[in-house]
Formats: sequence, C-alpha cells, structure tokens
Amino acid sequence: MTLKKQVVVIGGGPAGMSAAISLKKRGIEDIILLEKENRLGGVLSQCIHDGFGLIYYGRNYTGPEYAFLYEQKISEYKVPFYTNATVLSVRALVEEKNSAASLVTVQTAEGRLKYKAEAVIAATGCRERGRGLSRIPGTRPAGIYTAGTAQAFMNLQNFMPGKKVIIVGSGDIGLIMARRITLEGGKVFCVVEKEDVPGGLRRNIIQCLEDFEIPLFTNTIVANVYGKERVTGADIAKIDSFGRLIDGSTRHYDCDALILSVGLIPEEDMIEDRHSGVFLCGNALFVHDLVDDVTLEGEKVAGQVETYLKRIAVDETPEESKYSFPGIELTRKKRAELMRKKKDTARKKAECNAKTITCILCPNSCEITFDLLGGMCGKGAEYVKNEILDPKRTLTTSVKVLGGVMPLVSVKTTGTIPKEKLREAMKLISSFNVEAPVKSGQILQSDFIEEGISLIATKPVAKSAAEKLS
Amino acid sequence: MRQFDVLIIGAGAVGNAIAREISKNNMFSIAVLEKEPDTAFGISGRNSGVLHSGFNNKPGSLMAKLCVQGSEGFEREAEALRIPFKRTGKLVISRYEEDLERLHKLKEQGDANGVRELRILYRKELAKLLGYETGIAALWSGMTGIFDPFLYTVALAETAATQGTQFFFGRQVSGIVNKGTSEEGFVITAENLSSGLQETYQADVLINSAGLSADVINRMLGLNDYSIFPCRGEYHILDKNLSKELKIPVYPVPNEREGGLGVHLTPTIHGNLMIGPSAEYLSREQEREDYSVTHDVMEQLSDEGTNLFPGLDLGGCIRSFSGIRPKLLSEEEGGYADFVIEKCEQVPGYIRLIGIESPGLTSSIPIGKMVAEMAQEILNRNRNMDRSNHYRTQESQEKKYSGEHGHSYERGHNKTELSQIQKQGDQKMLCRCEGITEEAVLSAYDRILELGAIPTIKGLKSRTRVTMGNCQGSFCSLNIVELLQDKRLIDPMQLMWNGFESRMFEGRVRG
Repeated sequence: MTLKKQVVVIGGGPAGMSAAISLKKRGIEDIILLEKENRLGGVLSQCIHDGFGLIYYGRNYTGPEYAFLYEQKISEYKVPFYTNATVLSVRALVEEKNSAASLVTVQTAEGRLKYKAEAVIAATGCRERGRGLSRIPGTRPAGIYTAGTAQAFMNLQNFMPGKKVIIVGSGDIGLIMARRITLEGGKVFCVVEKEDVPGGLRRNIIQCLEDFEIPLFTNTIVANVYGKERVTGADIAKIDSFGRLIDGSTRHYDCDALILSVGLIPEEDMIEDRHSGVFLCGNALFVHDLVDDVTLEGEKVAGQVETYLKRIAVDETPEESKYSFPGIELTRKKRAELMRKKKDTARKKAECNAKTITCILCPNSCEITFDLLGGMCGKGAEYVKNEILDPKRTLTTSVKVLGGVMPLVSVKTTGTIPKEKLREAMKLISSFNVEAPVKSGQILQSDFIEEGISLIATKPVAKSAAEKLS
Repeated sequence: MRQFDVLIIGAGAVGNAIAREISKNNMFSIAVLEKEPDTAFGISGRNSGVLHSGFNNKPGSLMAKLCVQGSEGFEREAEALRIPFKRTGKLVISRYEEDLERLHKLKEQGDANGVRELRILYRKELAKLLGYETGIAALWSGMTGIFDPFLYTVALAETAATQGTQFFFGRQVSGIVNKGTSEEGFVITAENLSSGLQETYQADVLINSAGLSADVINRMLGLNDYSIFPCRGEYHILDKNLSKELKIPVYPVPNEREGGLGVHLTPTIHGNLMIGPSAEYLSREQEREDYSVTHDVMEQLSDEGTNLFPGLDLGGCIRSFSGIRPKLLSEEEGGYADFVIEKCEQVPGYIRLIGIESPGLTSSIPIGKMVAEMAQEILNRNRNMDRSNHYRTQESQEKKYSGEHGHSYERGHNKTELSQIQKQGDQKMLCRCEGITEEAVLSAYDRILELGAIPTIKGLKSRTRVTMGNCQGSFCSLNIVELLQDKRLIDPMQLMWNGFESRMFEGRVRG
C-alpha cells in the first residue's frame, strides 16, 4: 500500500516529536510521525535520571518526564503518529519530480507500507559504538554490554547487567550507569578512558563518580577480558601517547561485566541515497550532549522544511540547509571541531588545577572559586556554599510495580536530600512496591528522608492486560 | 541406555552431513552427540564462509578430491537446503615478482585436481575486474563461492532430523567402551551438561567427527596415533558499506609454511566484509577452545587488509572473532596434512575423521557420502551376520523428530500450558539493522527446540542474524529478551548467551 504525505517524520524521540509538533504549529497538517517501538519517547524512557530541560525550560525534568511532556503536546496538537512502525528505507523518487521526492518503506506489525513524501525528517537518533570498534582484546563471553543497552536492561526491564563492573569509556551514559549500578548495590571498580580527558560532562563526573568514590583512570584501556561463557575478569593497563601499553601498568579486576560507553554514531543507515528533501535532526545529525538542544533543533528543522516546501511549490530549487544533504557534512565537521576545542579547554583546566568547585546545577558546569566568585548565573555561589557545608542531591531510581505493563516505574525525590543519606534512601526504596496503574507525578511517599520531600513517580505505568481481566 | 545403529560425535557441518546422508534411506537409527548447546558452535561456524574450488590442495589428496566434489554442483545442494549461495569467483593476488612462480604452481595444482575455470590475470585485467589497482598478477578461480556457514550447518542438521536422526545437545562424551568384535559395538558415556547426569548410549558404529576434540575421542578408544595442534585464526567483520566496492574474495599468495591461506578479504553472503584469518598455534598451556582475540593480531589484520585493498576503511569494523583449525601438523612442521577419514583397522566399527580443517566445510557433503558408505557397509555386513539389533524399529521410528525438548519445558512449563499461550509474533521488526521480524525470531526459537538443541542467543543469531548487524545487539538484544519472555514464557534469568554458564544477567534490580 502506498500513501501520500507531505512530510514523514521518522523517529518518535525528542527530536522527532519536537519537529512534528513544530510542523503542526506552522500549519503543515499532512504529516505522519513514525516510531519503531511500541511507545513514543525514544531513549528518554530509559534515562530515568534528571537534568533534562534545564536550559530550554529552566526546569529539572527526568527523561521520562520530558518524554511525557512531549507526548502530551503530541496529543494536544493532534500529531498523527504510528508506533511499531520501522522504516526500512528512504529512497529518492525520480519519476514524480518535486511532487513527491521520497519513498519511505515501513514495516509495521500488520505488514509493509509505503509513503510518498515531499519531505522527510530523519530524527532517527544514534546507535552505540560496540566492542568491534573499540578493539577490546580477550574472550567474548556474555556480560559485555553497551551502556545504553545496560541502562535499558536496568531501567525498563529490571535486569542487572552485572554486579562487579568496569565501565569502559567515560561518555555521559557510562558515567550515569556507574552511579546507577552503585546505587543498586553493584560494585563499580573503575571507569577507564583511553584519552587523557574524560568524555562526559564535568557535572556527571562529580555526581556520578566522585560522589561514590569511583576512580576514573585516563590514558587507560582494557588489555584483556577473561571468562569463556560469562565475564570472570579483565585487565586494564595504561597507554602512552602513541597508544602503546606501558609495561608493568596492568591491573586485574575480578569483574563480571564490562559496560562500554565508547561513543555514539548517528543513525542514518535507512537513507539509501542522499537526495534533496531529506532533513536530519537531533542525534541523527550529530550527537548532542543535551536534549534541550535536540528539541530546539527539531523546531528549527521544521522551519527549514516549511521553507523547502514553499520553494518546491513554486518550482524553485531550494537552498541547502545544515539539516539537508550535503550541508550535513559541514555541520558535522563544525561539531567535531567544537568538541576538539572543548577537550582542549578541559585539558588546560586540568593542567592549571584551579582551586575551584564545579557547579553541577546545570550542564554549563561553571567553576566557582571558594570566594564564591564566577559562574554564569547567581545560583553557583549558593550551590558552592551548600556543597561545602551540606552537600545535597536529587535521587532518581525506580520502584517495583505490581500488575503493571512494565516491571518498574521510574521515581525521583521532589527536592534534594543529604548526600550521605542516599544509601539509606535506596534501602527504603528497594523494599517498596506500588500497584498499577501508576500516574506520572503520583506521590509514592511523602516526607521521604527529609520533611517536605516526596518520592514521586516520573512516568505512568498502566495495568497489564492480565490484571485487567482478573 | 539408549541404543542406536550409528552414533556420531560432533554436530558440526561434517557430523550433520554424515547424519543426513545415512538417514536418507531410513534404514538405520542414528544419534548425534554434541557437547555444545546447539549446532555450528565450533569450527563450522567460525570461518570465512567460502566454498573453495580445490586448487590449494595437493593432487591425489583426499582434501583435493573432496573439495572439488564439494564445489561442483553446490548450487543444487544450496537449493535443497534452502540457503543463499553465490559463486563469486576468487582472486589470489601476487603483489611481488617472487610470488609469480608460486601463483603459476597453484594454477598447475588446480588443473591437476580437475578444478575448472582457473586463469592467470595480469595487472590490467586485474585492475579492471576489481576496480582498483593492486598486485602484478592474480589467479582467478571462477568456481569459488560464498555462503552462510551457520545456515548451512543448521540446514544439514534439520534435514537429518526430519529424516529421523536424533540429536543430543549439551552431551560431553566422557568415556567409550569398545565391547569388542564378539559383542555389540560401543558403549558411550556422556555427561548431560544441562542436568549434570551421566547417560549411556550404545551403538554398532561409532563415528568420530568431533573436530577440535577428535584426538581426545580417539584416545578414549586407546588410540594415541593422532594429535591435534589447534591453530587460531582471528577475523574482523566490517559493516556493509564496503560490500559495493569488493564483491570478490581477495587472497594473497599463500605461504606454504603457514598453517592457513593467508589473511584475505571476503565479502559475506549477507554483504559484510571480513578480514582474516591470522594463523597462530595455541600453546599446550592454553585452553584448546580459547576463542580470544588479541591486541597484536587485531592490529596485524588491519594492516594486511589495507595491503590487499588500499581504500579499506577500518572505521567500519563492527566485530572481531576467532576460529580454531584442528591441524594435524605442528607449527614446526607447518603446512597441511591430509584429512584422516577412515575405518579404523584396530577398532572394528569405529570410523574416524581427524584433522578436518579447511577445506572441510566445502568438503562436508562429499565427506558425508564417503563416511555413510563406510558405515552402511559395516552395518549391512553386521546384519548379514545377524548380530545387529536393528534399533531403528524399536525406538526411533516413534520418536521421529521429537528431539529432546529438555530445556524450557523442564524449567517450569509443561507443553500444554505453553501451547495455550503460544502466540505467533507479528510482522513487527525486531532488528532494524538486518530487517528481522519478531515472527522470524520466534520461528527460529521453535526450530531450535524441535532440533533438540538448547536455545541461546547465539543459536538465534546463527539462524536469523539478530545481533549481527551494525548495532551488534545494542538495540535488538532488548527486544529479543522481551519477546521470548512474552511469547515463550522464558525466564530471562535462565537465558543463555552461548553456553551453559553464559547467563546474560546477574539477577534483578528489584526482586
């Protein structure tokens, strides 16, 4: 079956949802949003930690809350979407010049389907680099997972990927998983990073590693993996500036899992030929640090598409934009340069070893001196005062759900609690159960650890079909 | 005790091909014992996936004869087994003047073996064929092809099973008693690795196709005449972006002293590109099945790959793996010994296959035919002497292809309960990289059980290609776990990656 749509948006994550809503707002009605999973939200659903929306909304959402916010907007603006719909290919349509530039082939639960579209927005996110690209020597047993996969196993499916873990690579997801595993009673021996500076945000180094005294070893690689069927151990070793192992620097850990956070690759494999009328945004364009930027980009690409549609309607050749081929390559080049510069800055900072405290309230990660100076906003000084006198953290984790469509519901504390009480809080939470249905924002316990602080659900969980019957 | 006419040790391509051949005319009862949870876990699944034409082997050798037989008419076999196969041809490229002589010798050798479509190409022709400049001359072998060694080995097993062969997986043979010529054949003791229990099997004819462990099995019969020298070969697998540029397997001129054919580039039937294999003999201290990849070899492969194909982008490397050759010659001796495929004179009723290395996969069907003849001759002679029990009529007729559905049913669900909730999956994509639907994965899962094998992620991978795409399972492994949990009631805590100890998870986050 072939259907006609003015715009097809691929991917129901933050980029795709933002782009689709923005198209609707611009009066472009004839659109469809395609999502391969059985729900919208993309990777946000498994990112149960907070820190989303700080820049764009000035509020500290968790991943599921941010996703829920956009799901509501999707229904508010009546954006038509189709879940369980996997795009197999996007191809140029030559026979119908301009009237339909792309042919999008989709596999749905019911069968195959094709869309002819004037424009396509690929908001397909990214995939993780695995072991193959990171060249980790040794055996190849169970227990080696990419960080995102481990995160989904833990936060969506209730499975522990390992209990004695080495994190390979210091990307943000790896750092967040280090904290997550530690909070859930696992031991994270260390994070190893082959470069001389960590890849993740300074904010995450502090609240995910330093808070839990997890060592970060730079210029270090995994030199061997042991275990025939399940990981039983690994060696790590220092490397010199040419990437050669330094003799005598090897250290062995009896770990049962390796979690890889060694980079992300924009996902655009389904685009078979790069042709005009196809726009990339979000992590499919390049990998972003913050969802806020992804949202913004979704809105911008909708504007680009609007212009594009107007131009082709009057038979004009549209200009290239940074979201369409071949402008994309330039955008990616600029991004790579920016990241290199960022790393240089981090290196310099580390060298001068300034006596400052990094403010972790937002991703800007400003350095504040002990005289309470510095920072892009006023909040930094207040944070540093607290960090010295009474360090506090927001706790995000999950609670077991009885009779729900999912085994767990993500939760958070409505405010910060003392850092030293995190373990006590986790102990309490692991004894909790909640019965489905659960609403997003539902209070699971008030006066949790601290007076005035509640433990609330950050996503809705419906009753399972079997439960409904009984 | 289970009794059979024929018992085969090892469910690799060779063991399966033998079982398929003997079970063809429905005359004998056949069992195949395999220590791994599933078929194609050893040598058969760890190679280049190339159908060789037979010019690499010494004229007059079994290797040469069986390889040429295996290559000729493989189209028919592929069709019968319903597996994809492509006769791509292959190039052996000589980069230096000093290799030219050996290149011509290879052609002469191939001609002597009766290999068709061999031709020497020179620089211009070569560049035209490949689309890029490399080497000064090459040997073109038009009969060489590529296929999927997993699908092939699985298909052989499934055919054998539909013909009545019974497969017993997770059975590690621990002892063999030869009851001598006056009595009935052999009593084989095996440990059931799922249950931990000892089991015994009796058979008139014992066939040793145990691959890397063939010498170990041989020793159980008191024979010390062969030793296997494991020789590991590592590979890189690259993504599909390069497959458009290289459609033909490209080899260097092999070094006669080396244990392999040299590091080569091979497109796979599914469109990936492989670099490898290296050749590194494992020391006595090393575990025989040490399928590690190593730092130095990974670097070496990258270098040699770029030598053969200057434009090679190693950024597309999605996986590294290794296989192990069961060589009969030590590193010091070097080169190739011939296949040992014989009725053992010292032990009547015992047929042994030792040192079935490359071109073993190509030769597996002719080997099957050859061994089936040997087995049938022994069995027919026994029958004529009226000293056989004709087990076929007793047991295996009624048990035909019911397998040993041990695994998931044992673990908390009986068959009726399962059939009530057993829903087929729908057309939803489970794996986007390779385009695999939920339905395909469930059907593979059911086929694993039907064969009597024990479900593992690796087994699903061999049959469907899940986790073999660009994401290497970072997306689809979640979907697989969820699907098996929902549609087949599999407890994820019991789910195995590739073996009995290979649990995927270390418990639950919230109990």
